[in-house]
Amino acid sequence: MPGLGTTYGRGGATTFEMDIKNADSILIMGSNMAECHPVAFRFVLQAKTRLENPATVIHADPRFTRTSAMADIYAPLRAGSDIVLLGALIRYVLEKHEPIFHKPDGHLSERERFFHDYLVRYTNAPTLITEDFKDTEDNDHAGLFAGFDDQKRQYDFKKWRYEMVESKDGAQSAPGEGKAESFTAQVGALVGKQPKQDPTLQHERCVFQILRRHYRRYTPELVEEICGTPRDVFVKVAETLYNNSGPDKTSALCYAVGWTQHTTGVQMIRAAAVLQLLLGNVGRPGGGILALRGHATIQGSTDIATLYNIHPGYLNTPSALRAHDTLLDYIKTETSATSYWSNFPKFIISQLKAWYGDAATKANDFAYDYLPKIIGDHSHMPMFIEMSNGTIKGFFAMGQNPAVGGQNASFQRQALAKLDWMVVRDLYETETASFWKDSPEVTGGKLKPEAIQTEVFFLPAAAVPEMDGSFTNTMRLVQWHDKAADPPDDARSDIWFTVHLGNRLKQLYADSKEPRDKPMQALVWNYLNPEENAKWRIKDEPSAALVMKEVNGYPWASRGPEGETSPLVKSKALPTFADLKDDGSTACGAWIYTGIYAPTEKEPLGHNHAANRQGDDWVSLGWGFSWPANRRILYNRCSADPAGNPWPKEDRLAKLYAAPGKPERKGYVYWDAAAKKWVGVDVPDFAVTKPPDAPAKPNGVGLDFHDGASPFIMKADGKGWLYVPSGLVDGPLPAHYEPWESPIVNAVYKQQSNPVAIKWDIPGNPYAKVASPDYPHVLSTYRLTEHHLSGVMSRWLPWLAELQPELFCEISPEHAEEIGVRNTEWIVISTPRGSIQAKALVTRRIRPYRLKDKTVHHVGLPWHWGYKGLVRGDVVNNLSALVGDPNVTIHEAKVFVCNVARA
Amino acid sequence: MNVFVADPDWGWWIILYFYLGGIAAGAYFIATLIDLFGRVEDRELARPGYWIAFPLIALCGLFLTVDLGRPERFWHMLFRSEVVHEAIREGWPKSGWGTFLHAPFAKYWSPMSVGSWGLLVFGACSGLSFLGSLRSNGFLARLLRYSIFGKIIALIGCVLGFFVASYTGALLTATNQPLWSDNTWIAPLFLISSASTGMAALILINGLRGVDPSGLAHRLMRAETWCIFLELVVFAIFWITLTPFIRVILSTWQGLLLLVGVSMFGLLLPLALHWLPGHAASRLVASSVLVLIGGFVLRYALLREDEALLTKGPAIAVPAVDYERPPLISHFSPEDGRPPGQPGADPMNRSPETAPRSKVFQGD
Amino acid sequence: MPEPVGFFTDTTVCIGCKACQVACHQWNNLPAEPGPNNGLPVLSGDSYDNTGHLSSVNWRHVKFIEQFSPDRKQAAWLMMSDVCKHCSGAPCLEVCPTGAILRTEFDTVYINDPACNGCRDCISACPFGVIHVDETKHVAQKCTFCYDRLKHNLTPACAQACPTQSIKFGPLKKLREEAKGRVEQLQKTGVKDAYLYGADDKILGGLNAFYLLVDKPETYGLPSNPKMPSRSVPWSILWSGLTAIVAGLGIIFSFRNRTRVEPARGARQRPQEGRPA
Ligand SMILES: Nc1nc2c(c(=O)[nH]1)N[C@H]1C(S)=C(S)[C@@H](COP(=O)(O)OP(=O)(O)OC[C@H]3O[C@@H](n4cnc5c(=O)[nH]c(N)nc54)[C@H](O)[C@@H]3O)O[C@H]1N2
Ligand SMILES: Nc1nc2c(c(=O)[nH]1)N[C@H]1C(S)=C(S)[C@@H](COP(=O)(O)OP(=O)(O)OC[C@H]3O[C@@H](n4cnc5c(=O)[nH]c(N)nc54)[C@H](O)[C@@H]3O)O[C@H]1N2
Ligand code: SF4
Ligand code: SF4
Ligand code: SF4
Ligand code: SF4
Ligand code: SF4
Ligand SMILES: [Mo]
Repeated sequence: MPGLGTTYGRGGATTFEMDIKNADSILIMGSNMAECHPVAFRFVLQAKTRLENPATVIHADPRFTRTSAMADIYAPLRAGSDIVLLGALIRYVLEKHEPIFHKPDGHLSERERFFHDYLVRYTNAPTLITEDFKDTEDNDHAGLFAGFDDQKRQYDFKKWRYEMVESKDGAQSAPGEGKAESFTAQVGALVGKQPKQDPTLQHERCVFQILRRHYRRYTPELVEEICGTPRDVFVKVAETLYNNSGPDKTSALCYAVGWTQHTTGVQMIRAAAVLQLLLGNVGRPGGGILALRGHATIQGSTDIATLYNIHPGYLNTPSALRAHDTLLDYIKTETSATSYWSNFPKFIISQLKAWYGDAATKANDFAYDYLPKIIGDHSHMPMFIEMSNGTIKGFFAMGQNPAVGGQNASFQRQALAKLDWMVVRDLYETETASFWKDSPEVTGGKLKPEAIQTEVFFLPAAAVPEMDGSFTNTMRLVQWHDKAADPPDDARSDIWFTVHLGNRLKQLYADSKEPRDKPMQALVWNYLNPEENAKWRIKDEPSAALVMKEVNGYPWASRGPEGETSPLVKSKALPTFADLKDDGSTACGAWIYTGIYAPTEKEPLGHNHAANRQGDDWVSLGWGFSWPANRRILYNRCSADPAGNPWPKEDRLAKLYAAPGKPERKGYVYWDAAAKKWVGVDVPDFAVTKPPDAPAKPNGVGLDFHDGASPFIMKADGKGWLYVPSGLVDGPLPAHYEPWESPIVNAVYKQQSNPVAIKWDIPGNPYAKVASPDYPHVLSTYRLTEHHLSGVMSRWLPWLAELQPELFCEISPEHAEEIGVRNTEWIVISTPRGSIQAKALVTRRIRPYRLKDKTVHHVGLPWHWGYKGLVRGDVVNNLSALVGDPNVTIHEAKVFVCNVARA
Repeated sequence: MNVFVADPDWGWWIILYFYLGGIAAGAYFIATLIDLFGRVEDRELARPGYWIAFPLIALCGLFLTVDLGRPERFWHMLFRSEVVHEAIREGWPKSGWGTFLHAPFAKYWSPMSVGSWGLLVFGACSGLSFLGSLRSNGFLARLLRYSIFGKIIALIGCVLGFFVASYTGALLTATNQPLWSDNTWIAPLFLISSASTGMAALILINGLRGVDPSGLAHRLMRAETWCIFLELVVFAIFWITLTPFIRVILSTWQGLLLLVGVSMFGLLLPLALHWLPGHAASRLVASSVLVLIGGFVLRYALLREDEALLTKGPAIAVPAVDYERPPLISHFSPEDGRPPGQPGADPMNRSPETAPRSKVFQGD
Repeated sequence: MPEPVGFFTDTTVCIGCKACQVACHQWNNLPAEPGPNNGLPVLSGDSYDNTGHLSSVNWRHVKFIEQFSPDRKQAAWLMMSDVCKHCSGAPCLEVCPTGAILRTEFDTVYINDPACNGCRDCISACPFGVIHVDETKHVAQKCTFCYDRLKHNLTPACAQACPTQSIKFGPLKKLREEAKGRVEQLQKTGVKDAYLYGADDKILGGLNAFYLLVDKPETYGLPSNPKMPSRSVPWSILWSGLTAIVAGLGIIFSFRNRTRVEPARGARQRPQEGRPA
């Protein structure tokens, strides 16, 4: 989620679902929210059906979906063309704003003043960029930013930097090597110079002007030609968003994988993030960006990472490719000294302590060397390529079904056949578990079961109601769920499997004298609380609550005695992450979650706040726990003006939700001059006692480096980044590139597709040429309300299977007529990777896109079917390609090209 | 016309019931009319009416039962099953009569409900008459046919015969099915069709018996001519009331059959045969056979047309004009116009004891 | 007696997610719609509706109506969750000859399984095609308005599951008020076609499960003018009575008439037997 992360500081959604009901307009783009997020969508409808000033709902999607049906404005656009439309919206807003900065200060209307202050104080619009920077417009719209290396296909990010204030007194002492100094103390040495700014926004190298030049050509006409969105619809969208943003109105934006699953996905989200900053909607109620997450607790599984490149709490995994040799090196490379991240040493050292306990001492760099280092991109697709190459020999599929959900699924299934062993833990025998006997490669004769050496272990998993645990949802809200029943027979929860696997491995290595086995021996690994299992059949189920307590953190010294009952039971949970130390006295699994188990009066050792169920009609701080520190809207310092007073909308909402018995509030989060602190209905996302007029300290460490009007505390300059000088590998500004496979030539730049996209020119993964006549149609894959992902949790269930019983392919009547196909007849869809059969669902909800010089047919495939289960169908991912976004290596399942013919 | 309803799936059993039940009822009331009002010498002509009425109606009872989803519960139409079960729990028939007395159950506004009782009593009457007509003379005949008691049976049976002949039509009308509920002339149509088919059956059987062909030709034929003529009139009214829907109806083969089949075979041809000069017995036989075929086609086509219209469903351009039926008697049933919260068609309601459907409530 | 309850279904906020349908299945422990696709239905091709209609196992059914002009300038996709209307004047209840259909204390219409004998009269009477016969139990089945849940003070499963509150459950009176407000709001915001179906007593004396629609009822597969079956009965009696009298008199007259007609040519003559003494 670097799209949001690089712009605002954190990758999480900036707001919470319930707050959407306060929006004045809502743009849903890159998500089929009603179908995929029906419960969150309820708040969209609450906004729309609100009696006073109902909100206008906009849906921009290639297909007319159940979300479009609920929208006031439906904006069709060709898949993969989003940055053109978003860029045009950015241009529209920039041009509206531009006159503000030519007016003398006193002559601004309330609305103009709002935009002026928001842009100048809260974003990096005034910040100057060095002369090294060159835009995509240069070289006759080459489409490349400064610093591109054609050979390596990568950028030199140094060319995108801020211009810094030259002279700076009190130059930092060189980072002290002295071991006596604490790690945190050494962070001060990392503080750099203040960036140069032009608050009039007129300097030609200030971000505002760079932005204007960059998007100059993103006009409504261009939108019509490239996206196929009718011009009048675009204008309506732009007007709606602009008119519904400002001091007294806010607009919200919701997206999901309709944006992420692109080779330009991160930049699409970036474009949205920029737009919301320009409209002054970030950090304010009814505004923000709601990144709609997928899988249950997918947010949680990035927070407490299942990703290869981040540790829990968004700490980068030590890498052999970076200056991460020692703990100090690692801290020096990873710490951003002028933001809240200046506390990085506390986070990592507490984490090491939680993992290696007594073995983590100051003397051994807190066992930093126990951590394995990554040596490259080990994400899903590279992993399967290595599997296919025979490098990876064993594989756990725990709650995943890559034989259906993986891109170029046939390639992935064949990679599975190269393994020595595979463990599948699932509720049912999935397509992955049975690939060796039921896959099309086997039934088609390409693979022979007797020749497949992969030893498959299928282990039955427990389902959610059969275990304690928590979900972290889209809004970073952690909600606890209690076990309701024992799992049947041998089925066990994943936590059971993982903990007991760990125990056995520890046993296995217990007597080893090898230094390399030290980490295993030192691992702190005792989570049993027999008391919790008293009423259940399964007596050795580990306690999820204790894991949560460890994640929250506790003083190492408070740990109880080792024994059958985990020492965590007696340990005393830490109240906040401000209590973390870098001297090894605190242990904490993931600093962002600290506070989730904070002690209360009744439970001095810690209370599970995720289990709280005290909701109200809005912010509901008493319902669950939302990281960080139970904040619901991030960057909520933006909900007050630079002087700390609430904006008119915040004022109005505070009155609207006022109720007898609740403390009186003037705004969302604002400066209470009398009490000398930030107060409001939410937890302030700011230094609570830092006055709004506090000046920035040039040498200040952490938040001291920012002034009192810098809401983005995780950013080095405290500002929202319209322009991203670092953190993204494919450019500081979103620029439109065609998808990796496209039926048309890029009409904006000479550069056809993302110049640094990750591609694999390997056998079994061919790509279609640009504008290939063999594959003339755009194909997009997506979900249906009725099914879940690879279908294992829905196709096996008659009540869901009956609702969408067969794989279908949505095509327009125009397209159907061209190929002579009628509704429900079989058709063949093919790409360079393979072909599948599906029944045609001919519907006007799909439309052909009339672009500048070509009409393009759009083809839609839900991808929930496979060769197991009650209802079966071809695997849609046999069609998709292995190709990735350069920032996060996500695939491009949302758009590639295909051919369609009668079966 | 409402094409959004579900098909009650009244198939062959019901078609046969409507048809044979109609013949039985017709034959019976004709026989009783002859017995009650005809000349003494014609009574022999009436006997076959009793012969067929009872076996046919008994057969019909069987068909109706077989047609039920739960045949073993056929008696629920007559007695409130819950009350009976309660009475049985109280020891009925030894005791529990107090409860049992509440069991008999009928809704006067519901043709099926009243029809069940009507059928039962008609069955009893026709059964007795059947016994009374086995021999033309003798004790049974005297007791069950010629005595005052016999006359009373005949009178009741006659009225019920008319009832049984027509209530099936009212049953179709008292629904929301397309065509059936779009006019109120099916009941009289069925009634008169029962008369003509019953008469045709009488003619044929008497013909087979060789009973007084001339008298037969004479009087039965005149009655038959009258019935067919009347049926033609009712049939015409029936179609006239369906005017707004004629296009839709005739777009199905069942609808065409209903119009053409019935009018040709059941009405026009027989009438022509009747009205041709002279009295060829063969023509009479032919006309009777045609009438019987026509009567069958009427039931068959009318019942099947429902399914046909529903299959076409909303695809057929349903005319916006709907059949307005101002009530002849407002609030004929207590359900009609019931304000929320008030008792309606079934004031005897008791809260059902619901079997819990989900595990959650088990054991509470 | 508890207050009469109902459903106000606002179709303008129905997202067609079918959660209501699934919740009903689950609560009432109903099997899936049978079909030839490994026991399940095949793709219907009718928008996103693959179960087709209310049935003995689908007591809720979500309808999908696509309304697009060829140029897509007019574009709407209507969704509506259909269910038994629990009519104030309930045709099914009115005709049921066994008394199996009851009105509960919540003013809902309930089929008492054990009493039903599967005559299907209720099916023919229901103007909305709600009732169907169960293939294994062979009795009439339909929405119970979650009678068992109401008894335990729980919201019906479907309303509880509806993520958008398209299905609103509550006391009928309150719902009608709320619905009126919503229609006014829609009218104000330019949805001129919005209206309530079944909220007043025009349709069968009122529907306890009533709807907010934005097109004519037929578009949603609802009749605009459903009938109370009993209204036809007096007419049937009248016409039948008249016909019976005319027919009866005719028959009597035919046998009373003393004029002799010459026996038909070729007809055999036989003495009449069995004349009573
Ligand atoms: N019922 C149900 N809900 C789910 C899931 C499920 O399987 N079933 N899965 C969950 C998971 S894991 C996820 S990640 C989320 C995903 O949630 P969504 O992202 O909302 O789901 P998708 O259906 O994959 O894609 C959304 C929409 O993107 C559109 N689209 C395709 N290409 C483009 C494009 O280039 N631009 C734009 N603007 N739109 C495009 C598609 O037409 C589609 O309507 O849903 C979650 N919720
Ligand atoms: N073409 C195309 N491909 C896509 C996408 C797309 O939009 N288009 N979307 C992508 C996205 S966003 C996602 S998230 C992926 C999802 O892809 P996968 O994660 O591979 O698919 P799922 O079907 O969710 O697999 C989850 C499995 O976990 C099992 N499971 C459920 N609960 C438990 C449990 O408690 N323990 C264990 N061990 N197992 C459990 C389920 O039965 C199921 O088999 O697919 C991706 N693939
Ligand atoms: S399935 Fe779960 S996560 Fe998805 S919308 Fe429903 S409640 Fe929310
Ligand atoms: S909708 Fe049909 S089943 Fe429901 S109460 Fe009305 S008539 Fe009866
Ligand atoms: S099928 Fe059952 S519920 Fe319906 S009318 Fe007949 S007895 Fe009553
Ligand atoms: S009220 Fe209960 S029975 Fe009726 S549709 Fe809803 S869930 Fe099903
Ligand atoms: S649950 Fe609600 S929103 Fe979903 S289909 Fe049913 S009525 Fe519509
Ligand atoms: Mo996902």
